[in-house]
Amino acid sequence: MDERTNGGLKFLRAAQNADGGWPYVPGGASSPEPTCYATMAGLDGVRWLKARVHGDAITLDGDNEPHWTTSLAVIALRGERRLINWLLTCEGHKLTPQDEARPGWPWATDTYSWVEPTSYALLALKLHGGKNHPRVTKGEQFLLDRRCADGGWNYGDPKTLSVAPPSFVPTTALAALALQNADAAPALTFLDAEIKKRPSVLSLALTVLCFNAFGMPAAALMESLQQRQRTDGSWQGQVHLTALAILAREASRGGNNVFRL
Amino acid sequence: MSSGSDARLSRRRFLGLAAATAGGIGAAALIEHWLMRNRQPATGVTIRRAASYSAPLERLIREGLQNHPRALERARGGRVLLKPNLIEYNDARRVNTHPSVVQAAVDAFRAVGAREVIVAEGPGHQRDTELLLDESGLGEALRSEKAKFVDLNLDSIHPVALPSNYTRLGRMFFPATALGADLIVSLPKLKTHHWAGVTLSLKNMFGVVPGVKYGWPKNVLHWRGIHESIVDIAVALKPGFAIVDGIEGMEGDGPLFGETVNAGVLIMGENLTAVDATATRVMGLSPERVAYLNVMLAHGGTMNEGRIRQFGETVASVRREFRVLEQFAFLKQPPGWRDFVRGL
Repeated sequence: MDERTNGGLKFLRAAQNADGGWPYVPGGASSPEPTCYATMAGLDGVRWLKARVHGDAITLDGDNEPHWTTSLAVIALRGERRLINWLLTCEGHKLTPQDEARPGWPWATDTYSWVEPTSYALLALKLHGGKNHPRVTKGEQFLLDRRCADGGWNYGDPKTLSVAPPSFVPTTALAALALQNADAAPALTFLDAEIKKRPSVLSLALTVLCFNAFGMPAAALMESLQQRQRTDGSWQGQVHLTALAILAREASRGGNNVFRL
Repeated sequence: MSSGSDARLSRRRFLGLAAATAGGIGAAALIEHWLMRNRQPATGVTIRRAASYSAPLERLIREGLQNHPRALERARGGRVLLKPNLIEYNDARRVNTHPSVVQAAVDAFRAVGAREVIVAEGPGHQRDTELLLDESGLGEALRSEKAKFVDLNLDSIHPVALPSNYTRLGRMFFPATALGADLIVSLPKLKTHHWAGVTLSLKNMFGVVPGVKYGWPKNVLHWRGIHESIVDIAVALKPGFAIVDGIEGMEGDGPLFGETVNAGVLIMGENLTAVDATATRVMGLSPERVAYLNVMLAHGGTMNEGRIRQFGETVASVRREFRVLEQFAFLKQPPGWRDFVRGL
């Protein structure tokens, strides 16, 4: 492990709360998403995450509704069966006629399905034995239904009234990772062009992981990501971004890519 | 906004009042609405002209604040949270509160003695806040001000019981930074909205709802009703001041895809309903026809022009005709006795 990764891990260790979880920003309350990413980066958030499982899904402290990070917890906990079973039964409300046959996953209970939670759910299920499950096939179709005209994805609305909104880099990288097949080709073209114009830590880290999963070169993006590391070892002073940057570094250096199918 | 009203409306009555804004009304809702419209607390709204973003905005805001002693008192020695509208970045369209207005508000609240001024937002569509701050220019403006920015989507969150509960959620999670502020200042853009009609200081409060709980987009707010959610959030958090960036507004297919209108105004006040009603009039639209503004009358809001003391410019002197989508053509119709009978 090199100095940059060590610096990032040092930041993460210092940010861990006494309860064993991680906040988004040091000093805040522990939350599932940063804890999942810190765990994926090799630190120990397993006990904290397992203690947040209620009714077969992750819940927030003080809440009893299933949380969208259940998918990320499947990945962080390397295939927790009851969480997988919950994901297989979870569906968002139907926003379009296509959603009836090809539902995605929602952010919150009793709402529509969107691109990012659907991408997380597909990654979790495909990484842990569900690659050929009919629910996965429907979820992939949902993503294709929600693709924007420019080949990528925004949050999940390819047409607002008469306007075709543009795609975003992070959601496009996540959806392409969730597909990891030839259907993602237009998204890779979009990412290649867009990431140079509008780089950020989140966009760079996810695009590096995406390009790595597709066997595409990403050295320049990795260099740009490394330059954004702060002197305290973090990226943007945020736990989930620092963990994602570490995951991107490890993948680009020939190590494990947590999202490669 | 005043929190003095104890009036509570059931969801059924909410819907009755909301329907009253568009047509079709029951006698009970009509009478209740009449009573609410005539019992509105007196308040003031300041309108200042600013032809461009290079105008002396800090002075305009600081002078405007002097007209609103309750907000001023809460700001002095307190923690002030400035909540701009930072939703997406679009090269071609003015969708966000201009960084110069945010910068001027930071300076103005510091100048009147705020202990701390924090700028905070939880963008609703795009979770890459670093990118939004960079692309919009707000990040650079805040760095030059040495002002702290909090991403409300990622803040620690706490459940809060909803006093009005039109959404029937019972409670909603809000960010600790918002809950800990002595004064929340809404800094919206003057825009039309393709679902709500207009988006101003009350609708701008959607950005306080944390993505970590509700996602990107915060779809639960739409699912439970935009108008219902606007009121529930405002009643729960009680934002105490608003500064509407109407220097460049947006008409037509707002809040993202409309066209720029050079309206050249800043609109300020401590009763957010009154500020939004005034801003709606400046846009050439009828606030009496906006559902959530009507419902805010049950929660200390003021819409009646006779109850709003106007500081600075008059509405008539700065009024522009904002274009609206066809489905909101009814907002162009002035309220009158026929509306009252027909359903306001």
